[in-house]
Amino acid sequence: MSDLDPVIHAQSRLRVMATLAAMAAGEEITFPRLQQVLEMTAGNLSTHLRKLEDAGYVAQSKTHRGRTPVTYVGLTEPGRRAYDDYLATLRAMLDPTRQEQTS
Amino acid sequence: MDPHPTTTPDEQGLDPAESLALIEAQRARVRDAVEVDGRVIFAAWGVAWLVGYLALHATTRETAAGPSPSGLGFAVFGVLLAAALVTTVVHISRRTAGVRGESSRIGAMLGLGWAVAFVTVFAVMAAVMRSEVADGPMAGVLANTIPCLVVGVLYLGQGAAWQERTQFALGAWICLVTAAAAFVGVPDLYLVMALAGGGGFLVGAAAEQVLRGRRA
Repeated sequence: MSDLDPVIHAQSRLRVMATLAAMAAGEEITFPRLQQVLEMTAGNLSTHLRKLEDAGYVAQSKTHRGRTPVTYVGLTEPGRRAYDDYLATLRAMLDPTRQEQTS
Repeated sequence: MDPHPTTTPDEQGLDPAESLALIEAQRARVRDAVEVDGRVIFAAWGVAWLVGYLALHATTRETAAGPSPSGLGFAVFGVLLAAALVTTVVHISRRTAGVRGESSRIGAMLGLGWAVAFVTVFAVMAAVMRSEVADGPMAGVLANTIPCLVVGVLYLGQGAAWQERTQFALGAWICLVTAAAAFVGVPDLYLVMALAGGGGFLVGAAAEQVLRGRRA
């Protein structure tokens, strides 16, 4: 369990995961707002979200506000766990004395 | 850092330190873009109370119904409170736009709670001011105590809902100051509200600043 999750360990996807994980569990954010926080192009963000969704880390739910379609993006439970594991592995790599981080 | 990274830097391996730095930077970005900043709200109300209540105090003159601030004093006070309200509403709606979940439901209920509470405050004050109390020395005291007590209690509830110690402490402090001011009476009640009440909000803003520095 010392390898970093390759789905998360890429600059753009790590930024997406860090952003979603910084919000409270169960919180979701609209696609345009996420795009604004990340300063990513819509195409770039969609691509990375699809990869994270395929891994089961992110859920996108489509709804309507009036007549406008709105997409909400949030971390799934496994996504949050994967992110926490990633963070623990990262910290253990930076500070090998903290072995209690790895299970 | 390139704000629009192509896929190329993604393919390069990040080292752990870079990854951690990226996470920290993104957390700070979320805090600055999505979270409500207590400093903004406390400072807005702190200035409004400090300057507004000082204006009430400075313009208080003896009238047939006892000492009372002038129309100008009330106008300055009203404009400052309105400005603080607009600052609060704009700040919160900008920061929380496009986010849904438990916190937005709590926030919506609290927002509605403030509206219901203040409609009630204005109705009760209208009833008080139509009564013979309006001609007595308690009119000014009640006109201050009723809304300020509601502000204090709502801050207590809000602090509990968000688990925010600064807001909870501020709520308790406002209740205490309001009670003290009721004993002081007009006109020095306004001085108590300006310095202890407005000052309390400004101390709250400073406390948020210190907490923020510690978290970062």
